[in-house]
Amino acid sequence: MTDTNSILMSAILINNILLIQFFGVSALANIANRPSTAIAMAIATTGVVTLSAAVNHMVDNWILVPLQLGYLRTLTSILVIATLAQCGGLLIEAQRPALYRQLGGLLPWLASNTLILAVALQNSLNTLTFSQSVRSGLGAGLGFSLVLILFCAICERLAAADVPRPFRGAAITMISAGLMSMAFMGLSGLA
Amino acid sequence: MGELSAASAYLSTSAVLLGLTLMCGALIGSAWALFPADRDRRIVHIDDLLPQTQCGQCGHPGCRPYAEAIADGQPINRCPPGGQATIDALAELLGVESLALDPEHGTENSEISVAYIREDECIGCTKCIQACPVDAIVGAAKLMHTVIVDQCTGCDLCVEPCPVDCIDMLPAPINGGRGLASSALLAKSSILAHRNAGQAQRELP
Repeated sequence: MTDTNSILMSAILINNILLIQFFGVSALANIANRPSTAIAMAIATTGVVTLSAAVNHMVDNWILVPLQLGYLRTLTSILVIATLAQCGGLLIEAQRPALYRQLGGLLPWLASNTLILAVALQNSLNTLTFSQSVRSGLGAGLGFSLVLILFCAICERLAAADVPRPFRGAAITMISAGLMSMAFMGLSGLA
Repeated sequence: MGELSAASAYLSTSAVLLGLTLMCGALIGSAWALFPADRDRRIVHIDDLLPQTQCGQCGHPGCRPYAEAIADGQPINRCPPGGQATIDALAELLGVESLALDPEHGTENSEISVAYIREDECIGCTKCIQACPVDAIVGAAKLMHTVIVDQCTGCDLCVEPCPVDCIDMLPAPINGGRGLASSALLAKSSILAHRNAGQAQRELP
C-alpha cells in the first residue's frame, strides 16, 4: 500500500469499491438506467469522492487527531461529504441547468452515498498520507465510474433482451452485478 | 482533574463540531453566491404564470417545457387555457410586446369545464387514463373509470381517445373552488395581483 500508483490501480481494478468491497451498490439499481445520467453521476461522484478524501484527510489530521477526537470522525466525514455534494449540485445547476433537471432527485443520493464515506474512513484507518488519500479517493471514483458505465451498457442490452418473467427488474440487475463482481475478482491476480 | 478533562473534552467536541458546521454552512452559502443560476429562476417565473393545465396545446409536453421554450425565445402566445391574461403577464415579465393568442394552437375558452364520464357507458378501456396529463382519472382495465373533479384541468385530452364517447365536458363547479380547472381560472384572474405583488417585491431595497 506504499506505492501511490499502486493505490490508484488497486482502487480502480483489484479492490474495486463497488464490485469487490460492495459500497454504493444502490447506484447500480438507481442511476445506471440511462447512459447520460450514468456518465454525469460518475463524473460528479468521482469529483466529490476525491475532494472529500482530501478535505477529510485535512480535518482528520489537523483537527481530530491533535485534539484526540477520533470518535467524531464519522460525524465530521458525513458533514464534509454532504457539504461537498451540495456544492457540486449548485455548480451543476449553474453550469448545466438541463443536466441538473435531468439528474433531478439523484443528487441527494450523492450526499448519502456509502462509497464516499467508506473511502474517507478507510483512508484514516490505513493512516495514508495526503497524496495517498487523494489517490485512493480518485481511484475509488474512477473504479466506480468504470463499473457504473459498463453496467449501464449491460442494462441497455438487457432492456432489449427477452428476460424470463421471474427474473425481470431487480432480479436480473442483481444477477448481472454478481457476474460482474466475479469477473472483477479475477483481476486480483494483477497485484 | 478527571472532571476538568471531561469538561475540556466536551468543550473541544462542541467547538470542533460547531466550527466545522459553520465552515460547511459558509461554504454552501458561498457556492450558492458563486454559481448563480439565473436562467433557471427565469424559467420558474415563466412557469408560475402558465396555468399548469399540462394540456399540451402549445405543442410541448407540459407547462414547464413550454416555459423553457419561452425562455429560449419561442412565441408567448401559444397557451389557449391561459388566454390573453397569461400572454399579457408573460409580455410584462419578459419585457416584450403582447400578442394575440395564436389560433393555430386553439381558441380561448371563457368557460372553464371539467371532464365527466357517463359511468354506466364506460367499458373500462383505460384509454382516457393514459391520455390524462395530470392523472385525474381513476379506474382499472375492464372496470369503470371516473374523473377526480378537483384534479381535472379541463384540457379535453381524454375526450377524443374514448372509443364509446362517454366523456362530456361540463361547466366546472366554480362554487367548489378547489379544482385545478377552477384554480386555472382563479390563476388567470389573480395574475394581475401576482404581477403587482412581484413589482412591489422588486421595488423593495
